[in-house]
Amino acid sequence: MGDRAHGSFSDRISDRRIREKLVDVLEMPQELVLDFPRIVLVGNARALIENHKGLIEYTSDKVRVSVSLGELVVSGANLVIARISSDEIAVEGSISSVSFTG
Amino acid sequence: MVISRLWSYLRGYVIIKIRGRSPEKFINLATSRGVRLWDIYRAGDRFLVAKVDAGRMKQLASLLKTASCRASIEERVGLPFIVARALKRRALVAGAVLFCIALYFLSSFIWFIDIDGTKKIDKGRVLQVLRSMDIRPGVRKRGIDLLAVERRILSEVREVAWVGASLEGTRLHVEIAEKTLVGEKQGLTDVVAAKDGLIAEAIFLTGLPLVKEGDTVQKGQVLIRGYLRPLPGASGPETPQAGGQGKTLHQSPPLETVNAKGLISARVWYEATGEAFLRKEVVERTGRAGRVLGISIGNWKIRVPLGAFKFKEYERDEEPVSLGVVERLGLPIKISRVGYHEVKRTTISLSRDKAVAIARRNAEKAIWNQVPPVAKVVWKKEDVIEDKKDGRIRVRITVEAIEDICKSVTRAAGQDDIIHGDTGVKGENDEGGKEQT
Repeated sequence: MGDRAHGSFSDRISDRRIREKLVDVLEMPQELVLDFPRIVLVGNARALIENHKGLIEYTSDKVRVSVSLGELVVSGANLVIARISSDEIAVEGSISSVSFTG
Repeated sequence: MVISRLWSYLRGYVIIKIRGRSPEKFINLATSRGVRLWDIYRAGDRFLVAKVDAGRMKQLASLLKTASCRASIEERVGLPFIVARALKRRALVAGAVLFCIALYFLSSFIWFIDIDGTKKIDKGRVLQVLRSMDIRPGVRKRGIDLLAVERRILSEVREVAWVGASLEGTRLHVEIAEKTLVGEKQGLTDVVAAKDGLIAEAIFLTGLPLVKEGDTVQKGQVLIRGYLRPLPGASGPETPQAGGQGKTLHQSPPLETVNAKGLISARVWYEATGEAFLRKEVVERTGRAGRVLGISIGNWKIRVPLGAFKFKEYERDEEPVSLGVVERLGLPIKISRVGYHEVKRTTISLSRDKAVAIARRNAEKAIWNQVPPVAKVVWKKEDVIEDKKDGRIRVRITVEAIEDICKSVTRAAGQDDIIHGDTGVKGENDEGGKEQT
């Protein structure tokens, strides 16, 4: 089972390498080709997350969002989801950090 | 942002409170189904508050079930809800409608009448005219013919020169321009001489005569004086004596203005002279001409003849040639075109008779410019003066005419103009009443 996991992980890595090369050569936007989330921060007041895969957890000091790389965590205080649609999530409040896990 | 918020408000939205183990699941579900949620925030441990479009509420119910959440409506916000609430209050709606109707109804009446532009005319008189036409505050606008109003005021109030009536909402605006009535101001009219002359005939109508037939008068001299006298029936001559000189006109008893009037004709003399040449030297161009181009650069000048010519007598004209750019640059270069025209001198001579005729014609023209057509010419003389040296003939015409020389001049009346007693103003050559100062 460990092997399989290892194998699939290396597969994913090699697949990503090819894609990354493609992006480099063709100068295409990474977020589209690699299915990366695009995060726009406006100061510490607003975080706009595009290309998300759904909301995992929401509390007033932490917003966890599922993305292609795993999980994106926006933490801070008084966080509000100002807008949510299938393409993007807008988090407002006083943001202290944005980090990836998983 | 403001616009999207306004749009949400116009469409109406509902603030809901979501309870459940995993409200995130409900949010994801709603998002994937295209139900727009916004302004989601945590209210305590187990509650989420969110806003959702009013029209999507029905869809929400099944989603809540799937996500095993429950929701309650906190508040309904937006125009559709306000309208719905308002419609429930029948009396309020009825009141609003009634208000609009009343406003419309009342605005079809005149409530105010403004009269502008009056200085001496009493506004009450204008209002009275309006009232006589049944126009007063509270009357319906529809029946009012503004043109008729204007015409009526113009004819009823004598001092009005122009009227403009207009409706401004519930206001009838009447704009008035007043006539300046001549003779209304405190002024006296004298008759003065318009020209120098000898008085031939004088008929005095009103005023104090100051001249008589046979008098020589100068231009501007007063012939008949206007004066003031107490109105007949007014307090009489005692008052001014008590007042003395210090009193002003306004304090005196009412005075009547007697303006000078009369017909005075006088003998007036005119003189005019006309001229003509017996001999005259005339310089004429022969038509032959030559051109020279003149070029000057600073103080250095050069002339370039264009073709050869030599004239004994000539006239010269010079015309600068525009150099455009060079000139504008301020360079001291000038070019001019000089023309030389050959001339010939000839002497024209006229016979004496012809010269006199021309001179007389000029003199006649000059004299009839002076003598007014209404004047009666009683005497005319013509002198011919010959100037041998100049070769000129002069004709001088002298005319004596009898004409009216009266000119009315209005001046401000003073204390000196008050004359008491009924003494004489009528009749010829009457010396008039005694003046009291």
